[in-house]
Amino acid sequence: MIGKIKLATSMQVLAMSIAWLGACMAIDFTFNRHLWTTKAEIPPTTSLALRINHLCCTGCLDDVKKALQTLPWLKDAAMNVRDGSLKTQEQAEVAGPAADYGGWLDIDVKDVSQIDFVAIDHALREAGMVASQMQFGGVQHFRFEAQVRHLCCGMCKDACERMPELAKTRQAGRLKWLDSVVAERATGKVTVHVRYQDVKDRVDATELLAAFDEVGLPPFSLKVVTSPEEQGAIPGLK
Amino acid sequence: MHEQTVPQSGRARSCVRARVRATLALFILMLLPGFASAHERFVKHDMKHPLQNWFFEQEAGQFLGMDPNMLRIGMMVVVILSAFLFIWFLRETLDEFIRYKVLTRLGGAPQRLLHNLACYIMDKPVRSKWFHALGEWSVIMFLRSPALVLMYSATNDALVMPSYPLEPSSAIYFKFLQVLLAVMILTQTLLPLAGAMVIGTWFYLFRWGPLVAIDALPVVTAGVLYAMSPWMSHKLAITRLNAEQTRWIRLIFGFGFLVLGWSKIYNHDLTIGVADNYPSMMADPMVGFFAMGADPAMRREAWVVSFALAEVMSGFMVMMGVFTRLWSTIMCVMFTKLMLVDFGWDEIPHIYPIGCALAIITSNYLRSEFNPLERIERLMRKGSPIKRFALMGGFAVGIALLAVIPVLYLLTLTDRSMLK
Repeated sequence: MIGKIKLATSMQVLAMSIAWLGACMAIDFTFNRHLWTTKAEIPPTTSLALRINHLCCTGCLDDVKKALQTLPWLKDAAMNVRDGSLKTQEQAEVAGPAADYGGWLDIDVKDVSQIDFVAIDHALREAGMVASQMQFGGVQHFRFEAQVRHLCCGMCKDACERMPELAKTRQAGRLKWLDSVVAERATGKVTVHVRYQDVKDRVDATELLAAFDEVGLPPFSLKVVTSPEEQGAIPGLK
Repeated sequence: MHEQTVPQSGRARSCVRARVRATLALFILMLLPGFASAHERFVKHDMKHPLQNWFFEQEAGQFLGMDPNMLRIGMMVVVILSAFLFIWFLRETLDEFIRYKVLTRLGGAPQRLLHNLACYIMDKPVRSKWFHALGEWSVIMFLRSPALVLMYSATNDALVMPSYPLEPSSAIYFKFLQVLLAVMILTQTLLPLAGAMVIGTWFYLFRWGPLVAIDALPVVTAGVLYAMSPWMSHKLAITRLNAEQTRWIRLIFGFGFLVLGWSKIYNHDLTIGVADNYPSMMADPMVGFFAMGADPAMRREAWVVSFALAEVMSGFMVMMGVFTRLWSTIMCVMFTKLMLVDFGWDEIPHIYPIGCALAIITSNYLRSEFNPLERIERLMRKGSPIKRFALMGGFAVGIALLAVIPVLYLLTLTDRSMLK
């Protein structure tokens, strides 16, 4: 049976909308605390930034620096923790639980062509540390060159070159900076062309390493190349 | 089964008006600029080549400081918009001609068909059984389609629209809440509360920046319709929209597309980024017509402005109630094309604006927001037709100029650094 038809008043609709907005904000504030804290700016001169998943005190930082300084091209590079000062080991000994135990390390690399992301990853893992992101930027036009050991057939080459379009490699918005991939079977060289970048933009090389893993062809080196690419000979032109 | 009967007393009408006015005032307040967050869209939008940014900014030595190509496209849209407005203001004269000069010569089915077609185009009531049945079905689809979009978004870890992924840390809560809202919509339970939840969620989208909220603005039309429904909605079969509901849905739907159009020029890199990934979009004949005569070296920049102004024009016409059915039909065709041809499955949520446009198209309560001008036109019918045509032409050109050029100019003054 239908009784008298009642409509919501403007105040009721407004009050319910604001209450619902409050509920959404409360969920956001409670569970997304990391989005409410102000992020430190990346220094403009930094070409390489590593997100170290565990960087809670100066002891961790020392181990990270020692690990990275085993690489000749990082021996004298300036390394700075982005979020200011870290706790000392003594302070960390008595500190309570934290929301985040990681941190960013900004590294000023003089010659970017020396950077090898696979070597960084190996060096950190050897020291018992790991970087979840390895961001590179400050250059508008560049490409990555990876060396893979296994490229035995046309399908291996195809798997590499289809990396930008394979759903599993692009999941969660990864590789949005990637333009195209060219693989050479004879040399095992895989050239990953990066789209035009703004000077402020950063490209995360770990996304690319994960994509190589996804296609099952992990590289043993991944370098940045900024020099102009050699063009193939144009038929008919001397 | 009972058809919804909304009280038509003056008190009830003023209550509905006050409610909608309060909601709309809040929308406008919330549209004030803020911080734009770069939340990822599902549709690929990575720009393949940079645009010439100066094209969209102030240029020294040019009229109004606007790029001549941009101004040319703007003026082309003004001409088209003026023509539509002029025909609209004089549509009664045109209707008389069709009625007494064309229809009288025909008889039977062709006469009825042409009469219904004329009524359809001129936003007059279409008295036909199949049109009525389609209208009932469209309202049911429009009322329920947001539930499908919410369910789809929840399964894709997104909020309201699949374009905006949820943070993994809070995703589970928002996903369950979206499912709860979808169940309320599908079962028509406490629709005013469901409406407030849609509107509240839309307000929350401002947390991610005004551009995100603008993108989701069309969803608010359903929220407003739910808010205007009776509390005992679960006992009613809501199959028709009344005049007041039709008007507010048309206003918000049109306004949504008007603002979306302007935001496409403001955020031009995103617009061209989508076109770079879906080049078939660039072959739209209307957009090509607007960009006619533009410098071929500025092809991509001209396309962005033309594409955006096509949306501004259609949004303006729907919002103001000028050839609402015609423009809503064009929107329906366009959304269907985008969904089935250009973007494919990624844009399945377009089923929602299609439902909304269908509900507007099949309403027999359409009216324009230019009533005072139409009254002047009626009063002038006894006098000289030339004077009447000239005055209406003047109004049409004036309105079209005001609708397009000032905002286009203001956009050349805006700072886009917050988009980086």
